[in-house]
Amino acid sequence: MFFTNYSKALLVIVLMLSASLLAGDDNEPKWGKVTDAEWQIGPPVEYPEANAVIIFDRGSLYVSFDKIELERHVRLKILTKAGIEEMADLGFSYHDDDKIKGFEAQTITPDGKKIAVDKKNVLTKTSGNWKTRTFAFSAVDSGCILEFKYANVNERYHYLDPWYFQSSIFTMESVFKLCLAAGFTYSTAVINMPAGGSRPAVSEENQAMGGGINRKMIIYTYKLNNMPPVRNEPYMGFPRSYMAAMYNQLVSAESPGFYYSYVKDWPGLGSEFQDNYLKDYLIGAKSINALTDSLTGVCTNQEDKAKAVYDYVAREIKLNDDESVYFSNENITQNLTNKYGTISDKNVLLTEMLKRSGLEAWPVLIGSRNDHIFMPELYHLRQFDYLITACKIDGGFVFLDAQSEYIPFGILPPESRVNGGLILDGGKSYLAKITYENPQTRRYDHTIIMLDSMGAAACSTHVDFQGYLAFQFGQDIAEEIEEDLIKGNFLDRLDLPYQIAGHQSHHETGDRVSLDVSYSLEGLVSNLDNHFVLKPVRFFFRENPFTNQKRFFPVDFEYPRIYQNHCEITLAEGMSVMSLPEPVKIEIDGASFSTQYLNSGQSLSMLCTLQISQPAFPHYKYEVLKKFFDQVAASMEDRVILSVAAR
Amino acid sequence: MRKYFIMMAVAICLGFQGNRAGEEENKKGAYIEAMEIVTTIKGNSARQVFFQRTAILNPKGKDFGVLSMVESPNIPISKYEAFAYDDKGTELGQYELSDLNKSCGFGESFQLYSDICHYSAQPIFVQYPYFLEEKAELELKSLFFWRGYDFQSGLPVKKISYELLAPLDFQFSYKIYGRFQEPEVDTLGKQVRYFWSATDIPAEAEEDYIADCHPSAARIDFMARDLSLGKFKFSGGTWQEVGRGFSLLSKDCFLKSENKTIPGESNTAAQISAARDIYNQIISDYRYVSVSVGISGWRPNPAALVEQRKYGDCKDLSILLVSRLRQAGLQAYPCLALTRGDGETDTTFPGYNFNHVFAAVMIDRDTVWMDPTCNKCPFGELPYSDENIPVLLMSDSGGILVKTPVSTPALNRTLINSSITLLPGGTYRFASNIECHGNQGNYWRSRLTGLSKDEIRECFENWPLGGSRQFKITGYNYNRDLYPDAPAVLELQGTSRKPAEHLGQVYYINPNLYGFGRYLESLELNKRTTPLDNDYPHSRIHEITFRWDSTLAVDSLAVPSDEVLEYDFARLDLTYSRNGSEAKAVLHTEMKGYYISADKMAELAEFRSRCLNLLSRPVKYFLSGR
Repeated sequence: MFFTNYSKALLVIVLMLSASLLAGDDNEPKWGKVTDAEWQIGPPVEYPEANAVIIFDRGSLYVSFDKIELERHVRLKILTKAGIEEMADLGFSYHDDDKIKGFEAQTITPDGKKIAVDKKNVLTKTSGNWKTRTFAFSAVDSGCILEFKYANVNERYHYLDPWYFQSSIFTMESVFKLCLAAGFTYSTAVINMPAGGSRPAVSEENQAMGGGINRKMIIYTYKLNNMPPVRNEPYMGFPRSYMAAMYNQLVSAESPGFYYSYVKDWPGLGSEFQDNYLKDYLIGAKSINALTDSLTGVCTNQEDKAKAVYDYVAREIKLNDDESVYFSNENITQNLTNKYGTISDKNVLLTEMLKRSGLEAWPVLIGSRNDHIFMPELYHLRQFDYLITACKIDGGFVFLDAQSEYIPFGILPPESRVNGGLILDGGKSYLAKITYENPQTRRYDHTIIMLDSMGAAACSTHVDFQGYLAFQFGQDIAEEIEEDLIKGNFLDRLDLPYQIAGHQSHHETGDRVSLDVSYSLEGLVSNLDNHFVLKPVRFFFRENPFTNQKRFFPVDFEYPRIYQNHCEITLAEGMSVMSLPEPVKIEIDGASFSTQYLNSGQSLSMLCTLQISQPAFPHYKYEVLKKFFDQVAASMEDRVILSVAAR
Repeated sequence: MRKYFIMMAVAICLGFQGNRAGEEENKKGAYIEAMEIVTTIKGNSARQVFFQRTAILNPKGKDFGVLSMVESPNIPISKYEAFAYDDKGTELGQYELSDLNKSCGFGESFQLYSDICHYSAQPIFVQYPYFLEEKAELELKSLFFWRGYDFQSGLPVKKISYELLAPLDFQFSYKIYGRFQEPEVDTLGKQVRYFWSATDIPAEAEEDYIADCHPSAARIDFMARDLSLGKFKFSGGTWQEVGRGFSLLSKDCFLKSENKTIPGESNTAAQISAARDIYNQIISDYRYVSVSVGISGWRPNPAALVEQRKYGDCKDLSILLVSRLRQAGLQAYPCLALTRGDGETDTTFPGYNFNHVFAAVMIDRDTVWMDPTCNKCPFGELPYSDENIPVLLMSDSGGILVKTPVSTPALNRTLINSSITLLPGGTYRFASNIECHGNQGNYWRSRLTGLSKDEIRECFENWPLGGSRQFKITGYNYNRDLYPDAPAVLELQGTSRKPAEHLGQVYYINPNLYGFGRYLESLELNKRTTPLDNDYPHSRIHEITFRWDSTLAVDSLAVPSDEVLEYDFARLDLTYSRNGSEAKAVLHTEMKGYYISADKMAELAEFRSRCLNLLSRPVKYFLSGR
């Protein structure tokens, strides 16, 4: 590292602080010294079912001119026997080039005995650029305290590791110290931090460098207590997007006669990306002129041109779902020849074709909603992983992502529905808010049931997927065996014996996919003296997906949607409807559900509609939402009673 | 550790010739044109060359188009190359091992660490069909790892072959299964060439709950007569010799047997009590951790070290258990097993293909079996995966092939005592006391361990038929002792969310609160071609008392008629009675064996259908005022 030579000279630098210096109130726990209070720890009031808790997870990130060093010390307590299986075998990950120093791990038994982890069983797993150090604590029992510590030494000045104050285990205390050698400035982005949590205590410390030389460090301490676990639950994004976390970035380092900026501004980053990735990629892009002309020659307005190009790229260029690279083709010409590329390959082609059709268009860097959080405060390209397109049509901006033929023009796929991205325009690149429409997303299940006089049910179901549901199902149907998909997504859910007679899927135009399946069901109708009891056939939301009593983070349905289920039943001769269930109508903010039953002669119609009009529900509305879906699921127990004429 | 041996699973996928694709191939989107293995024996080692060619016909098959290799320090890859071609034979890509993604240390899901490395890549091309060819050369450092190969996979295979080149004096045994024929044998100078081949191997059936007894359509097993593993010499050929070889591996790992006090030598009760205490202490204080590095995949850690760590894999914990039992003066032995669900040991062909170790102790001419990795199993009960299988008991004189106990429906019984009470308004409440014995008890103890409060509640809510949408669960409880010798006892109370079905003043209540054989409910039986794995024989006796709330005026109750269904593989026995203001139902269901053979599927479908009808016949409440 070229900083090494300057490190001693920088000792005199005093970092200007915008905030007042606050004395750190932090009493550093010592390795192996367990307090009485820690021995007394039981299940947290907020999470009484905890089998283990993290007593503390403390990290100090020292940034100096010769290295970056994260010192971490974690202490846990096993509360139950089940906690042994949950927590006694642990690991931590780090980058391939990082050095792990001073690793120690030990079990402390309630009688104070300390048993170090057997060095032979401290092992390292590798996968790509990442390593995981894994280890098993010895002599663990309920009531034991486990602790480990290590230092990760690296030179990743351009990318400091984020700190997560939460994990899948209840965390009683999480402390992160950012210790900067004088001369460094940094910026930070915080997410999900409770009120007041993002304001650090600030202190100064002189660090002995040897030879009687001291170096001043500025220490920013962030501390959060009693953080609930974040575990997988239905209708959520990726778990880390719900954890209180701190993302830091070094901005600059300076000393007399020396200044280094670690970050570029967004225009600079945009230029850098274009120089590194797009410049060569676009060589030969003129080859697309003829194709563009042939597609747009007859179009008379901007929107038609854009749509013609979009449809071509979405349909004709097949998607390579390799997410590890921006481009799977060496250049745009190869992309066009192979007719196969990544999302970025497809959208760069889209952008260039739009430009050649006379429209203004730009590539836009975004980070997938599935595993990225957009943080405009942090100036680095790691928060992005693919390109979409911005196009100016009739004076307005439209964002396009032609990754799938199931996504119509003007609609962004779910993973591209993000807050913002970087519009690439050389030195004029800038951040922009990504705007998007909600397509009509709907599923309509239409089941026709013919009942014979013995109550046997011959059924046929037509399922019509529209909008994002067509996108999802369309991809599945292209890649999976249709019959397996039908069993797993439909018929197995009825918990009744069935026999499939036939099936067929159809990709209608644009964002519509449909499926037809015919089958017979056993046990749909049960006998009640001279009557039959009939259950509705419904495949979606048969159970309440929300089973936990509490939720600590929002419910995310991603986009509004409507589900409809229509059952039409033709009764056998001699059967008639004796009683119908009461109709149901439930409405809460953001969702509604209704059922209707109609009878006319030998036909019976059952219609239910579930509408989710608000994609996100804050955690404090969880109880209401859970109750709503309880009622939706309970309607599965509606019964129609049929009387049968004496034979 | 459950995996005592690392099986080299060389998942290679290649293929050829789109024009030969039939219906099955097109449905799967891929097939394997050729799979070839050539093994050359040299002393105690071997060189093995794998070749496979896979055709990817359409997008459904692209997930089969994976280049994949596994290596370990004992079986390193010495050469590797792969190619992709289009249907005209034009090369689309060329791959070396360094082009594949590599991950090391990740063994089976239950392992903390294993010293194997996985390589994989998925070349995808937009034009179908395309073909992947993969050729790998592996060095088997010891003939201990030369086991044979199962050529049946998730794809149909057109042509398979296994070629063995061995010195003239090389002694080995083999066994072929399925479509393999006896080999062509040629002498080539100082070598003998054996060549086995077969064609048109169907893909493995994609059915749930396939029993181990379902045979492979193309497998070949080998065993060298003499081999060494590190400094340990093995001599194959008989089970006795196989056991002797393994005994050598663990010989120095036992605790010193200083205390040879036999607990009341002729007192069976005292011996059982001593064994029980030792077993209970080990399953309570020691946890299962599997770390497989080098020979530790096969050789246990010294029991003294396991005592310090308080953890170990199956062989570590078994050696410790056997040591302690021997210290107590008991005659105890480790046993090698291939567990249920991982294949079936062919007792006629001695081999090294085991994946688990547990223990047996002889008390008063009886054998008491113990698996120290099952910390939910009461003393004397094996987990179902160890039941009814051949195991190799490592005695002083070598291996002895014995069979673990067969369980019975009565041992794995669930006894449910429920009351159902009709309430004003037509809803009803139920209360059940559920006693689970044998494997059923182990199942519940395992299932409820480590779950959050919400997950446990959900587990109970989903238990009754119709789950939480039909019932509001008002209470539940279970005995939280993780290491009991007693059955798992659970209690569940709830109320129906909606009134029972009724016609006028007659209310109908379905007594079948807990369903019947949930795994059977939607299983497609009419097309099934494989035997169905029942896990283990089991039974359920559900006694239900029907009552009503004192504010209701109920004239009478009516119950269905008694019924018995008897099949080879299952039984249903329903009895009902009335007694004054109560009615009683006893629903007795029983699955008799470990599996149901494929030729019984029509009968099973019939049994299921009749069962569902009979079990759901309602008990009727006649209210006054009809």
